[in-house]
Amino acid sequence: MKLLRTALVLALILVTATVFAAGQAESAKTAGKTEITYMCWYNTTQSENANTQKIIDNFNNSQDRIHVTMIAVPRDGYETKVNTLAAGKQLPDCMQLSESNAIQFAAAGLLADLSDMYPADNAPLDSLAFRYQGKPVGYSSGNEVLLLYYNKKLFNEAKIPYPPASADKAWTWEEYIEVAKKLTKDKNGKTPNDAGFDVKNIVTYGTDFNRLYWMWPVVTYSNGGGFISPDGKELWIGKPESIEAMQKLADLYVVHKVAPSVGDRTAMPSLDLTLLTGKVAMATSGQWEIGVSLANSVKDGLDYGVAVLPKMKKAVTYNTGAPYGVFNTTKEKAAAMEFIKWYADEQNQWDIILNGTLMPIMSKWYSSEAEMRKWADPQVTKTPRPAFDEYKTAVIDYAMRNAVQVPWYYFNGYDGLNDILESGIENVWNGKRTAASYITEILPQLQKYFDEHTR
Amino acid sequence: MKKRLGVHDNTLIAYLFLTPALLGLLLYTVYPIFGVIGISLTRWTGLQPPVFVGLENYAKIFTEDNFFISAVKATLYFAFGSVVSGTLYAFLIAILLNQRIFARGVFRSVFFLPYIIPGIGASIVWAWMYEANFGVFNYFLGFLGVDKIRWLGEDLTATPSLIIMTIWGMGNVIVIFLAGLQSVPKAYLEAVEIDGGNAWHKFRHVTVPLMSPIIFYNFLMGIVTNLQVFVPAYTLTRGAPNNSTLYMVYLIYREGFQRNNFGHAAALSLIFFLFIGLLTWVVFATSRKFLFYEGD
Repeated sequence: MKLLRTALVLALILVTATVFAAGQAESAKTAGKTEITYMCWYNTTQSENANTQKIIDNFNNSQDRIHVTMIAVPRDGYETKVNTLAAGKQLPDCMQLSESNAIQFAAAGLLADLSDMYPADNAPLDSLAFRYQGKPVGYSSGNEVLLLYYNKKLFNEAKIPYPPASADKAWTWEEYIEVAKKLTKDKNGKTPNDAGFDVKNIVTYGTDFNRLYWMWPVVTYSNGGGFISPDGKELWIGKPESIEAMQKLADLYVVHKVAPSVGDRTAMPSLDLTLLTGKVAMATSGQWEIGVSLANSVKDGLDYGVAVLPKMKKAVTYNTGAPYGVFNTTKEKAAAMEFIKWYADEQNQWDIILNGTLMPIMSKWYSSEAEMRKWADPQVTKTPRPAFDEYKTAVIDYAMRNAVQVPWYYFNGYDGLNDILESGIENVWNGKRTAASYITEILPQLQKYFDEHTR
Repeated sequence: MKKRLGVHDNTLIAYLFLTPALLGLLLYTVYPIFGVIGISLTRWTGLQPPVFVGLENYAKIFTEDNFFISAVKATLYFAFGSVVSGTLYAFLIAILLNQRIFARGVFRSVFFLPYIIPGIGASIVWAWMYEANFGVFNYFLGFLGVDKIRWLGEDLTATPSLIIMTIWGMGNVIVIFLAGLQSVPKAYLEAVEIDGGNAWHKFRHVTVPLMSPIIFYNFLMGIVTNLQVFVPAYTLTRGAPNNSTLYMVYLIYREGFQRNNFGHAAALSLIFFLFIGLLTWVVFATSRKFLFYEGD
């Protein structure tokens, strides 16, 4: 009897151990086809990927050589998931990469060289290539630049001419501040130029200049400095021009009182509501706002315009866009590249290009005005977007001629460098310390990190 | 079957039943600790094989790390802040809940409830309450004529705001104190009354000394738990503003999983583990001075 009991207990333990050791499910193989996996993220709900799945289904149904399975992962913790898969050698074949660690993956030898993905005469814009050691390892999925949006009604009421829609007429920083001052109103209708201006009760801010961590360094390039040199070899944030630019940006709030504090800005709703309700008269943000937020308030009466950013010494904007990449660990590189190329093809993103969420990546869409009108002229697209003439000069020409890449296109370790830069930056934006004292203090750490990551 | 094993037979079965738990302990606790020690001696991005670098990570932490010192300070501030104020608060509430009041049971449940509410869901609601322009707290401050406070946006108020949120969730501490209060023998309290003492004397000379083991337990558990604070930092502030809420565990998580710096993160966690161990030992060593066990 005791032996039977012992045996029973042993059996129980074995069963428990087996249950816990159960392996992963085997993926079903569709007969004969090349199987590849594509990983992407969703921000809040998996249903966001329903559109992606539809597009993938289109691809799967349009040919019978390749079958793509989508792996959707929450955006929060996306990098963690990829790191875990990399460590476990279970990376997908291709995926949507986050801008800030694309080059890190490339430096680890994980990303495939995409030089032969596109023929020379039908390739994406050069500014959209993520490059490591001279080779492209990813192309942005969209062409996104920073622009100045403004509420036309507020300008009409104040009888001020609209901000310029072309880079050669860009406002100087002083002109920008002057206009912003005229548009900043406290609850008694006074502007910062009037005596008795009530700083604590500002009802309309003349402008907001987005101080989001990856956006604000655009002013350093505009002033003749920068964050990192475009060839990736030098750290430029310590240059006097860069520091001066940072201080001028902070002074919008600290000195001139025409911009909200960073804290107040984060409490504001989306850009369309902020402009519509007159909380700010002008604001900078990315091109995507046209489709993502501004279109929503047009029916509520939002009459907005799009303009180029004000310049300090030269007219400059940033361009960015999350890339797609193919992993070197894939066994089906050709199939993965074919899928990515198909997926990135604008025909599949046409709706969101038309509604202004994305700008196309292939250079052919920028080659002539006729091609541009196909996706940017509201009379052709029938979507709420700015008039073509304004958009062409303020956005398309601006992006083609005046854009510099956000350094994550070529620098390995943008996030880590940024951790240092952003660690005490609130004090600069709030006026508690000057940009010069802050940058001087952290420059050695920045330089050290930079040198370590450009070995 | 001959009962040759006798007593040992039962022991054998006992060990067999313990095996899954022991395996779990070995596999999920002991082995990972050795793993962390091993990883801390390497430079590893997770994307490529690890590179052995000896004690370089440790040297870096003590000489160059930009965030280590501020993380330690912030964590200590948070831990002691929430434990000291939390223990006082819980003790006070427990005393109140020990009185004969109307609907005492309901009050006890209400004060215990926050402990069982999932931390992340509660954090998000608290984020909305702390919201500078539309949040509940600033709304009521407005009635008092006080300016809006940017609770989670200012260095000075960020950690205190998180401390308040943590104290709100300390239902378990209240319950433990309550149990302790009820175990104070009435005989001693009556003795104080007979000797002409009032409520304060009762509290100071009977209740507190008899409760000292429980106070000590709550204090120690509170320190160990709150030094490892993570959820508020991850869900609400992400270390901002100005790294005032960059707590150690959140720093470890960020360095390891978001900055692909596993060696560095492993070294940080080992140092932190030793630090908590040291602190615990210090608290135990000094406890003899203030602990009073009945029957001593």
